[in-house]
Amino acid sequence: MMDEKMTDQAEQLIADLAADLQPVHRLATPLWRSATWIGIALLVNAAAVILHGGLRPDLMPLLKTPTYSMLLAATIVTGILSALAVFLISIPGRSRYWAVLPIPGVILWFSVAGYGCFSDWLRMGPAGLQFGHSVDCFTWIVAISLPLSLVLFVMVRHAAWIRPGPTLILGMLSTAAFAATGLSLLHDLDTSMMIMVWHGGAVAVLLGLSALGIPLFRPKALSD
Amino acid sequence: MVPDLPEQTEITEISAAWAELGALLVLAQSGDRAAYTALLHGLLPYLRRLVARRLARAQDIDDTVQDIYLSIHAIRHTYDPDRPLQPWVNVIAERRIADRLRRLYRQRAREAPLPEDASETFAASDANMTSEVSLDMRAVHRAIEQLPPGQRQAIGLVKVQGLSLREAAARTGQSEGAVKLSVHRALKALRRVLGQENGNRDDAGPGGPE
Repeated sequence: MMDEKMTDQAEQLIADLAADLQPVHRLATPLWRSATWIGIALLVNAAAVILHGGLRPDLMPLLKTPTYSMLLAATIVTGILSALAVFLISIPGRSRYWAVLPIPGVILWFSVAGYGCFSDWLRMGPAGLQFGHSVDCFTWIVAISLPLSLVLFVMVRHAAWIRPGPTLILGMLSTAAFAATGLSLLHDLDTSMMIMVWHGGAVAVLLGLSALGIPLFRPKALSD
Repeated sequence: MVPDLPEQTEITEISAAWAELGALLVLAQSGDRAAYTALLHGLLPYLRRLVARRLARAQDIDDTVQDIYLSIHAIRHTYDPDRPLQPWVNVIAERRIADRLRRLYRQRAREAPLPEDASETFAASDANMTSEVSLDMRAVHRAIEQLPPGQRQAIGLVKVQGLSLREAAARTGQSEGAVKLSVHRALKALRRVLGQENGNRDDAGPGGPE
Protein backbone atom coordinates (compact mmCIF):
# COMPACT_ATOMS: atom_id res chain seq x y z
CA MET A 1 0.00 0.00 0.00
CA MET A 2 2.77 2.38 1.12
CA ASP A 3 4.91 1.23 -1.78
CA GLU A 4 2.20 2.01 -4.27
CA LYS A 5 1.81 5.52 -2.90
CA MET A 6 5.56 6.07 -3.09
CA THR A 7 5.83 4.74 -6.58
CA ASP A 8 3.07 7.18 -7.49
CA GLN A 9 5.12 10.07 -6.07
CA ALA A 10 8.23 8.94 -7.94
CA GLU A 11 6.19 8.49 -11.14
CA GLN A 12 4.79 11.97 -10.78
CA LEU A 13 8.26 13.46 -10.28
CA ILE A 14 9.65 11.55 -13.26
CA ALA A 15 6.79 12.89 -15.39
CA ASP A 16 7.39 16.45 -14.12
CA LEU A 17 11.14 16.30 -14.74
CA ALA A 18 10.66 14.85 -18.21
CA ALA A 19 8.16 17.61 -19.02
CA ASP A 20 10.74 20.16 -17.83
CA LEU A 21 13.56 18.64 -19.89
CA GLN A 22 15.49 21.08 -22.07
CA PRO A 23 18.57 20.31 -24.15
CA VAL A 24 21.76 21.13 -22.25
CA HIS A 25 25.34 21.84 -23.27
CA ARG A 26 27.57 19.11 -21.99
CA LEU A 27 30.53 20.38 -19.99
CA ALA A 28 33.91 20.20 -21.68
CA THR A 29 36.52 17.95 -20.08
CA PRO A 30 38.02 19.09 -16.75
CA LEU A 31 41.41 19.55 -18.43
CA TRP A 32 39.98 21.88 -21.06
CA ARG A 33 37.94 23.82 -18.48
CA SER A 34 40.98 24.21 -16.20
CA ALA A 35 43.02 25.49 -19.14
CA THR A 36 40.27 27.99 -19.93
CA TRP A 37 40.17 29.27 -16.39
CA ILE A 38 43.97 29.48 -16.10
CA GLY A 39 43.93 31.48 -19.33
CA ILE A 40 41.39 33.85 -17.79
CA ALA A 41 43.58 34.15 -14.68
CA LEU A 42 46.56 35.11 -16.85
CA LEU A 43 44.44 37.68 -18.72
CA VAL A 44 43.21 39.23 -15.46
CA ASN A 45 46.79 39.45 -14.22
CA ALA A 46 47.90 40.99 -17.52
CA ALA A 47 45.09 43.54 -17.20
CA ALA A 48 46.25 44.31 -13.66
CA VAL A 49 49.80 44.89 -14.90
CA ILE A 50 48.50 47.28 -17.56
CA LEU A 51 46.28 49.12 -15.04
CA HIS A 52 49.22 49.32 -12.67
CA GLY A 53 51.27 50.98 -15.38
CA GLY A 54 53.77 48.20 -15.89
CA LEU A 55 55.68 45.58 -13.98
CA ARG A 56 57.68 46.40 -10.89
CA PRO A 57 60.94 48.06 -11.93
CA ASP A 58 63.18 45.63 -10.07
CA LEU A 59 61.67 42.52 -11.68
CA MET A 60 64.61 41.52 -13.83
CA PRO A 61 67.22 41.46 -11.07
CA LEU A 62 64.70 39.84 -8.70
CA LEU A 63 64.04 36.97 -11.09
CA LYS A 64 67.68 36.04 -10.68
CA THR A 65 67.32 35.60 -6.93
CA PRO A 66 66.27 32.06 -5.98
CA THR A 67 63.75 33.16 -3.34
CA TYR A 68 61.79 35.39 -5.67
CA SER A 69 61.81 33.05 -8.65
CA MET A 70 60.88 30.10 -6.45
CA LEU A 71 58.01 32.07 -4.94
CA LEU A 72 56.73 33.07 -8.37
CA ALA A 73 56.99 29.47 -9.57
CA ALA A 74 55.30 28.16 -6.41
CA THR A 75 52.28 30.46 -6.82
CA ILE A 76 51.91 29.48 -10.48
CA VAL A 77 52.21 25.75 -9.72
CA THR A 78 49.70 26.05 -6.85
CA GLY A 79 47.30 28.01 -9.04
CA ILE A 80 47.45 25.46 -11.85
CA LEU A 81 47.21 22.35 -9.65
CA SER A 82 44.34 23.69 -7.57
CA ALA A 83 42.50 24.77 -10.72
CA LEU A 84 42.80 21.21 -12.05
CA ALA A 85 41.60 19.87 -8.70
CA VAL A 86 38.59 22.22 -8.69
CA PHE A 87 37.45 21.21 -12.16
CA LEU A 88 37.95 17.51 -11.39
CA ILE A 89 36.24 17.24 -8.01
CA SER A 90 33.31 19.42 -9.03
CA ILE A 91 32.22 16.69 -11.46
CA PRO A 92 30.33 13.69 -10.04
CA GLY A 93 32.07 10.42 -10.78
CA ARG A 94 35.57 11.84 -10.46
CA SER A 95 37.50 10.79 -7.38
CA ARG A 96 37.42 13.23 -4.50
CA TYR A 97 41.09 12.41 -3.88
CA TRP A 98 41.96 14.82 -6.70
CA ALA A 99 41.53 17.40 -3.94
CA VAL A 100 45.07 16.65 -2.67
CA LEU A 101 46.62 17.48 -6.05
CA PRO A 102 47.73 21.04 -5.11
CA ILE A 103 49.46 19.95 -1.89
CA PRO A 104 53.01 19.94 -3.39
CA GLY A 105 52.45 23.47 -4.72
CA VAL A 106 51.07 24.66 -1.40
CA ILE A 107 54.02 23.20 0.52
CA LEU A 108 56.47 24.87 -1.86
CA TRP A 109 54.61 28.20 -1.72
CA PHE A 110 54.37 28.23 2.06
CA SER A 111 57.95 27.22 2.61
CA VAL A 112 59.31 29.86 0.24
CA ALA A 113 56.98 32.56 1.61
CA GLY A 114 57.76 31.42 5.14
CA TYR A 115 61.47 31.54 4.37
CA GLY A 116 60.99 35.10 3.04
CA CYS A 117 59.27 36.12 6.26
CA PHE A 118 61.95 34.43 8.32
CA SER A 119 64.79 36.17 6.51
CA ASP A 120 62.96 39.51 6.79
CA TRP A 121 62.70 38.88 10.48
CA LEU A 122 66.39 38.02 10.73
CA ARG A 123 67.26 41.18 8.83
CA MET A 124 64.80 43.64 10.36
CA GLY A 125 63.42 42.05 13.51
CA PRO A 126 59.66 42.06 14.23
CA ALA A 127 59.18 45.07 11.96
CA GLY A 128 59.87 42.78 9.00
CA LEU A 129 56.66 40.86 9.66
CA GLN A 130 54.34 43.85 9.61
CA PHE A 131 52.14 44.55 6.65
CA GLY A 132 53.26 47.69 4.89
CA HIS A 133 51.39 49.69 2.24
CA SER A 134 48.42 47.56 3.12
CA VAL A 135 45.64 49.67 1.57
CA ASP A 136 47.27 49.84 -1.84
CA CYS A 137 48.21 46.20 -1.63
CA PHE A 138 44.72 45.15 -0.57
CA THR A 139 43.20 47.05 -3.48
CA TRP A 140 45.28 45.00 -5.92
CA ILE A 141 44.45 41.75 -4.17
CA VAL A 142 40.73 42.49 -4.52
CA ALA A 143 41.11 43.76 -8.10
CA ILE A 144 42.63 40.43 -9.17
CA SER A 145 40.80 38.03 -6.87
CA LEU A 146 37.26 39.28 -7.25
CA PRO A 147 36.85 38.79 -11.02
CA LEU A 148 38.69 35.47 -10.81
CA SER A 149 36.47 34.16 -7.99
CA LEU A 150 33.32 35.27 -9.79
CA VAL A 151 34.29 33.54 -13.03
CA LEU A 152 35.23 30.37 -11.17
CA PHE A 153 32.01 30.47 -9.16
CA VAL A 154 29.95 30.62 -12.35
CA MET A 155 32.01 27.85 -13.97
CA VAL A 156 31.66 25.34 -11.12
CA ARG A 157 28.31 26.35 -9.64
CA HIS A 158 27.00 22.82 -10.30
CA ALA A 159 29.38 21.65 -7.56
CA ALA A 160 26.86 23.03 -5.07
CA TRP A 161 24.91 19.80 -5.65
CA ILE A 162 27.78 17.52 -4.73
CA ARG A 163 30.94 18.96 -3.10
CA PRO A 164 30.42 22.62 -2.20
CA GLY A 165 32.98 22.77 0.64
CA PRO A 166 36.06 21.29 -1.07
CA THR A 167 35.24 23.14 -4.30
CA LEU A 168 35.07 26.43 -2.44
CA ILE A 169 38.36 25.84 -0.58
CA LEU A 170 40.28 24.72 -3.68
CA GLY A 171 38.74 27.47 -5.79
CA MET A 172 39.85 30.11 -3.31
CA LEU A 173 43.30 28.50 -3.15
CA SER A 174 43.66 28.74 -6.91
CA THR A 175 42.39 32.33 -6.93
CA ALA A 176 44.74 33.24 -4.07
CA ALA A 177 47.71 31.64 -5.82
CA PHE A 178 47.11 33.53 -9.08
CA ALA A 179 46.51 36.76 -7.15
CA ALA A 180 49.87 36.18 -5.44
CA THR A 181 51.50 35.68 -8.84
CA GLY A 182 50.06 38.99 -10.00
CA LEU A 183 50.94 40.84 -6.81
CA SER A 184 54.53 39.65 -6.88
CA LEU A 185 54.86 41.01 -10.42
CA LEU A 186 53.46 44.40 -9.39
CA HIS A 187 54.31 45.08 -5.83
CA ASP A 188 57.47 45.56 -3.92
CA LEU A 189 56.22 43.48 -1.04
CA ASP A 190 56.01 39.80 -0.51
CA THR A 191 52.26 39.63 -0.15
CA SER A 192 51.74 35.87 0.07
CA MET A 193 50.89 35.92 3.75
CA MET A 194 48.43 38.75 3.40
CA ILE A 195 46.77 37.10 0.42
CA MET A 196 46.46 33.80 2.27
CA VAL A 197 45.00 35.53 5.32
CA TRP A 198 42.37 37.36 3.26
CA HIS A 199 41.39 34.40 1.11
CA GLY A 200 41.45 32.04 4.06
CA GLY A 201 39.22 34.48 5.91
CA ALA A 202 36.78 34.65 3.00
CA VAL A 203 36.60 30.86 2.82
CA ALA A 204 36.07 30.63 6.57
CA VAL A 205 33.22 33.17 6.43
CA LEU A 206 31.51 31.44 3.50
CA LEU A 207 31.85 27.97 5.03
CA GLY A 208 30.69 29.33 8.38
CA LEU A 209 27.58 30.85 6.82
CA SER A 210 26.72 27.63 5.04
CA ALA A 211 27.34 25.62 8.23
CA LEU A 212 24.87 27.93 9.97
CA GLY A 213 22.31 26.79 7.43
CA ILE A 214 22.39 29.90 5.26
CA PRO A 215 21.92 28.31 1.85
CA LEU A 216 24.74 30.11 0.04
CA PHE A 217 25.91 27.10 -1.86
CA ARG A 218 23.04 24.79 -1.34
CA PRO A 219 20.63 24.12 -4.17
CA LYS A 220 17.39 25.96 -3.57
CA ALA A 221 15.16 23.05 -4.36
CA LEU A 222 16.62 21.05 -1.50
CA SER A 223 17.08 23.64 1.21
CA ASP A 224 13.55 23.54 2.53
CA MET B 1 25.28 -19.67 3.01
CA VAL B 2 28.02 -18.06 0.95
CA PRO B 3 26.49 -16.38 -2.07
CA ASP B 4 27.81 -17.50 -5.41
CA LEU B 5 30.16 -15.14 -7.14
CA PRO B 6 28.40 -13.57 -10.08
CA GLU B 7 29.07 -15.32 -13.32
CA GLN B 8 31.04 -13.54 -15.97
CA THR B 9 27.88 -13.19 -18.01
CA GLU B 10 26.09 -11.45 -15.13
CA ILE B 11 28.84 -8.86 -14.81
CA THR B 12 28.67 -8.28 -18.53
CA GLU B 13 24.90 -7.92 -18.30
CA ILE B 14 25.14 -5.39 -15.47
CA SER B 15 27.69 -3.24 -17.24
CA ALA B 16 25.63 -3.50 -20.42
CA ALA B 17 22.62 -2.22 -18.46
CA TRP B 18 24.63 0.73 -17.11
CA ALA B 19 26.00 1.47 -20.57
CA GLU B 20 22.43 1.51 -21.85
CA LEU B 21 21.36 3.94 -19.10
CA GLY B 22 24.39 6.10 -19.89
CA ALA B 23 23.32 6.21 -23.54
CA LEU B 24 19.82 7.27 -22.41
CA LEU B 25 21.33 10.12 -20.38
CA VAL B 26 23.29 11.29 -23.43
CA LEU B 27 20.02 11.36 -25.39
CA ALA B 28 18.37 13.22 -22.50
CA GLN B 29 21.15 15.82 -22.60
CA SER B 30 20.02 16.62 -26.12
CA GLY B 31 16.41 16.92 -24.96
CA ASP B 32 14.96 13.44 -25.62
CA ARG B 33 12.10 13.15 -23.12
CA ALA B 34 11.32 9.50 -23.80
CA ALA B 35 14.94 8.54 -23.20
CA TYR B 36 14.95 10.63 -20.02
CA THR B 37 11.79 8.99 -18.71
CA ALA B 38 13.26 5.57 -19.47
CA LEU B 39 16.49 6.51 -17.70
CA LEU B 40 14.75 7.71 -14.53
CA HIS B 41 12.52 4.63 -14.48
CA GLY B 42 15.53 2.41 -15.02
CA LEU B 43 17.39 4.00 -12.10
CA LEU B 44 14.47 3.73 -9.66
CA PRO B 45 15.04 0.19 -8.28
CA TYR B 46 18.79 0.78 -8.00
CA LEU B 47 18.36 4.10 -6.18
CA ARG B 48 15.76 2.67 -3.83
CA ARG B 49 18.11 -0.17 -2.88
CA LEU B 50 21.04 2.21 -2.47
CA VAL B 51 19.09 4.58 -0.21
CA ALA B 52 17.42 1.80 1.77
CA ARG B 53 20.86 0.64 2.93
CA ARG B 54 21.27 3.90 4.86
CA LEU B 55 17.73 4.98 5.72
CA ALA B 56 15.03 2.99 7.41
CA ARG B 57 11.78 4.94 7.14
CA ALA B 58 9.85 4.41 3.93
CA GLN B 59 9.01 8.12 3.66
CA ASP B 60 12.69 9.13 4.10
CA ILE B 61 13.74 6.66 1.42
CA ASP B 62 11.15 8.03 -0.95
CA ASP B 63 12.01 11.68 -0.25
CA THR B 64 15.71 10.97 -0.72
CA VAL B 65 15.18 9.20 -4.03
CA GLN B 66 13.24 12.26 -5.19
CA ASP B 67 16.07 14.56 -4.01
CA ILE B 68 18.47 12.44 -6.08
CA TYR B 69 16.22 12.81 -9.13
CA LEU B 70 16.15 16.60 -8.67
CA SER B 71 19.96 16.67 -8.43
CA ILE B 72 20.39 14.51 -11.51
CA HIS B 73 18.03 16.85 -13.33
CA ALA B 74 19.92 19.97 -12.22
CA ILE B 75 23.40 18.77 -13.17
CA ARG B 76 22.67 16.40 -16.04
CA HIS B 77 25.05 18.47 -18.20
CA THR B 78 28.01 17.29 -16.07
CA TYR B 79 27.78 13.70 -17.32
CA ASP B 80 30.60 12.80 -19.69
CA PRO B 81 29.62 9.99 -22.13
CA ASP B 82 33.21 8.73 -22.11
CA ARG B 83 32.95 7.89 -18.43
CA PRO B 84 30.86 5.25 -16.65
CA LEU B 85 27.45 6.32 -15.39
CA GLN B 86 27.37 4.41 -12.12
CA PRO B 87 30.05 6.43 -10.24
CA TRP B 88 28.35 9.62 -11.46
CA VAL B 89 25.02 8.48 -10.05
CA ASN B 90 26.62 7.17 -6.86
CA VAL B 91 28.27 10.48 -5.93
CA ILE B 92 24.99 12.35 -6.37
CA ALA B 93 23.07 9.71 -4.40
CA GLU B 94 25.61 9.72 -1.56
CA ARG B 95 25.36 13.51 -1.22
CA ARG B 96 21.56 13.45 -1.00
CA ILE B 97 21.63 10.55 1.49
CA ALA B 98 24.12 12.50 3.61
CA ASP B 99 21.89 15.59 3.44
CA ARG B 100 18.89 13.58 4.55
CA LEU B 101 20.80 11.96 7.43
CA ARG B 102 22.08 15.37 8.55
CA ARG B 103 18.55 16.74 8.51
CA LEU B 104 17.25 13.74 10.44
CA TYR B 105 19.99 14.16 13.09
CA ARG B 106 19.14 17.85 13.41
CA GLN B 107 15.47 17.03 13.79
CA ARG B 108 16.24 14.36 16.34
CA ALA B 109 18.26 16.90 18.34
CA ARG B 110 15.29 19.23 18.80
CA GLU B 111 12.24 16.99 18.43
CA ALA B 112 11.11 13.74 19.90
CA PRO B 113 10.26 11.90 16.70
CA LEU B 114 7.24 9.66 16.51
CA PRO B 115 8.43 6.15 15.94
CA GLU B 116 7.30 4.38 12.80
CA ASP B 117 4.86 2.31 14.89
CA ALA B 118 3.54 5.37 16.71
CA SER B 119 -0.08 4.45 16.15
CA GLU B 120 0.47 1.05 17.71
CA THR B 121 2.35 2.45 20.66
CA PHE B 122 -0.22 5.08 21.41
CA ALA B 123 -3.24 2.92 21.06
CA ALA B 124 -1.21 0.25 22.78
CA SER B 125 -1.57 1.93 26.15
CA ASP B 126 -5.25 1.11 25.85
CA ALA B 127 -5.09 -1.81 23.49
CA ASN B 128 -2.37 -3.59 25.42
CA MET B 129 -4.20 -2.82 28.63
CA THR B 130 -7.35 -4.44 27.30
CA SER B 131 -5.45 -7.47 26.20
CA GLU B 132 -3.64 -7.68 29.51
CA VAL B 133 -6.93 -7.36 31.34
CA SER B 134 -8.42 -10.10 29.25
CA LEU B 135 -5.38 -12.26 30.00
CA ASP B 136 -5.88 -11.51 33.65
CA MET B 137 -9.56 -12.32 33.39
CA ARG B 138 -8.72 -15.71 31.95
CA ALA B 139 -6.29 -16.27 34.78
CA VAL B 140 -8.93 -15.17 37.28
CA HIS B 141 -11.45 -17.57 35.82
CA ARG B 142 -8.90 -20.35 35.92
CA ALA B 143 -8.09 -19.53 39.52
CA ILE B 144 -11.77 -19.42 40.48
CA GLU B 145 -12.27 -22.85 38.91
CA GLN B 146 -9.64 -24.21 41.26
CA LEU B 147 -11.30 -22.87 44.44
CA PRO B 148 -13.20 -25.21 46.77
CA PRO B 149 -16.93 -25.33 45.78
CA GLY B 150 -18.18 -23.17 48.72
CA GLN B 151 -15.68 -20.38 48.07
CA ARG B 152 -16.25 -20.61 44.33
CA GLN B 153 -20.00 -20.19 44.79
CA ALA B 154 -19.59 -17.33 47.26
CA ILE B 155 -17.22 -15.34 45.08
CA GLY B 156 -19.32 -16.05 42.00
CA LEU B 157 -22.39 -14.59 43.63
CA VAL B 158 -20.84 -11.64 45.46
CA LYS B 159 -17.93 -10.50 43.24
CA VAL B 160 -18.88 -11.77 39.80
CA GLN B 161 -22.68 -11.39 39.82
CA GLY B 162 -22.52 -8.49 42.29
CA LEU B 163 -25.15 -9.69 44.80
CA SER B 164 -25.18 -8.29 48.31
CA LEU B 165 -24.09 -10.50 51.19
CA ARG B 166 -27.71 -10.87 52.28
CA GLU B 167 -28.91 -11.92 48.79
CA ALA B 168 -26.02 -14.35 48.49
CA ALA B 169 -26.81 -15.75 51.93
CA ALA B 170 -30.46 -16.17 50.94
CA ARG B 171 -29.45 -17.86 47.68
CA THR B 172 -27.11 -20.38 49.34
CA GLY B 173 -28.97 -20.88 52.60
CA GLN B 174 -25.88 -19.88 54.57
CA SER B 175 -25.52 -17.12 57.15
CA GLU B 176 -24.23 -13.76 55.96
CA GLY B 177 -21.15 -14.26 58.12
CA ALA B 178 -20.41 -17.61 56.48
CA VAL B 179 -20.73 -16.08 52.99
CA LYS B 180 -18.50 -13.19 54.02
CA LEU B 181 -15.89 -15.60 55.35
CA SER B 182 -16.01 -17.71 52.16
CA VAL B 183 -15.56 -14.59 50.00
CA HIS B 184 -12.69 -13.45 52.19
CA ARG B 185 -10.92 -16.80 51.96
CA ALA B 186 -11.58 -17.02 48.23
CA LEU B 187 -10.07 -13.56 47.62
CA LYS B 188 -7.06 -14.48 49.70
CA ALA B 189 -6.56 -17.67 47.70
CA LEU B 190 -7.02 -15.85 44.38
CA ARG B 191 -4.59 -13.13 45.39
CA ARG B 192 -2.02 -15.80 46.20
CA VAL B 193 -2.48 -17.69 42.91
CA LEU B 194 -2.65 -14.57 40.67
CA GLY B 195 0.16 -12.82 42.53
CA GLN B 196 2.47 -15.70 41.66
CA GLU B 197 1.49 -15.47 38.01
CA ASN B 198 1.98 -11.72 37.90
CA GLY B 199 5.41 -11.99 39.47
CA ASN B 200 6.62 -13.71 36.33
CA ARG B 201 5.39 -10.95 34.05
CA ASP B 202 6.32 -7.84 35.98
CA ASP B 203 9.87 -7.54 34.69
CA ALA B 204 8.44 -6.40 31.38
CA GLY B 205 7.25 -3.27 33.12
CA PRO B 206 6.20 0.05 31.63
CA GLY B 207 8.63 2.48 30.06
CA GLY B 208 8.67 2.86 26.31
CA PRO B 209 11.66 2.90 24.00
CA GLU B 210 14.01 5.88 24.26
